[in-house]
Amino acid sequence: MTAPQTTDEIDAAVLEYLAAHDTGPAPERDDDLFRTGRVNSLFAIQLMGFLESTFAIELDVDDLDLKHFASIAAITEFVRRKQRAAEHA
Amino acid sequence: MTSPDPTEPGAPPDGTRTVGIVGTGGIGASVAVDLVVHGFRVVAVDTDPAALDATRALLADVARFLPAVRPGLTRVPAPQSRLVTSTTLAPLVDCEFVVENISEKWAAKRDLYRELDALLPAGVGIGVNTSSIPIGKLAAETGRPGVVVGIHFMNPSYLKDAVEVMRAETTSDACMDYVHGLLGALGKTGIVVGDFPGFVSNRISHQFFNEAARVVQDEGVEPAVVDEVFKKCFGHTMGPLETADLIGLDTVLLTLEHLYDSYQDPRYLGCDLLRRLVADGHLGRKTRQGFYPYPAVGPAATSATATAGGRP
Repeated sequence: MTAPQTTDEIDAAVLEYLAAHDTGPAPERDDDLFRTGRVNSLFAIQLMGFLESTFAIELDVDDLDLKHFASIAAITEFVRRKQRAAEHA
Repeated sequence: MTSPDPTEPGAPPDGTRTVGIVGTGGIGASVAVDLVVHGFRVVAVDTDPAALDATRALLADVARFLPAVRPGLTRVPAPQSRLVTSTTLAPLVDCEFVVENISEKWAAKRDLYRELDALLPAGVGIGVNTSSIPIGKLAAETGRPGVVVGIHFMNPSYLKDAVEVMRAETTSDACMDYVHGLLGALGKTGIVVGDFPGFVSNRISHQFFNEAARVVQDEGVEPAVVDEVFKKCFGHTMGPLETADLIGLDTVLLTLEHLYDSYQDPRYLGCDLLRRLVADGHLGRKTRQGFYPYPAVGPAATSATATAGGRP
């Protein structure tokens, strides 16, 4: 498994991805990415594809809730939970 | 128009209805994907196999993730099996309707409409997904002017709730009913406007794009600042320069040329910065550089960026 695993690693990878799509200053870990206008519907779809391929997870129908993607902290928590579930599957 | 019954505009498609897409650049691909995720079968045609591959890649992501941002939409089973791709027009013969999305070049469109008219069964309509080409002029190239209608899909189609519908003088009532039914099945509203160059949207938006580029060029304002004013002051979802990058700056420039030819208004003369970006191959998202850079990060970013833009 080469996918980032720790909270810090996942945070950093997500932040790097966001930075590549946004010219503004880096968001704080708990900033609401939708409310601040950093993430719109178009980008949310791209972000989900990025999360799947980067972190070796698979989003199922129950995961399609924007609250999982509302902040860096939420994304990292979601990714870790999916990775743990995959390990125990 | 023979099928389906336009009196049932919201009839949920169950994979038995097939719509054709000609030209799968950025907007064509997104309309194809929109149709599939709403239960249609799609025959997608492009001369460039890479554009067809990009349409499949876009469908893979959108079919899986779109329900997150479009509440009420469910994942359609086996989406890839509902998309047939082809580099020739022949498979379109089974379609109930065709949406045409090729480049905004008159000669290419004219020749294509003559070919489609020879191929498609009588009564099968053609939706012209154009930014600025007159619908009536294209309709007159066919033997079916009553069922040629303008449908200006917004980019990306699967995230938009409305489209502009351009009714030419020749467009029949039955065709208008059909189009409203089709749009209803996609969860969209059709706003009917007249058949004049640029229609409502582009006649106005392209002045914004051009003038926004001029503000960058002449006043040295950063693109992000221009866009921030539109987003935060006007409440627009996207600013004009990031929108132009999404559409493709080559397409924006072509549309400006059409608008200038039509109205002879110098406000439609593409500014030097826009021309230079296009000449340098900086066409926006699809080339990873336009008014903004779009660096690749990770494998997903590669596919997402490649498919979000595409050819005009």
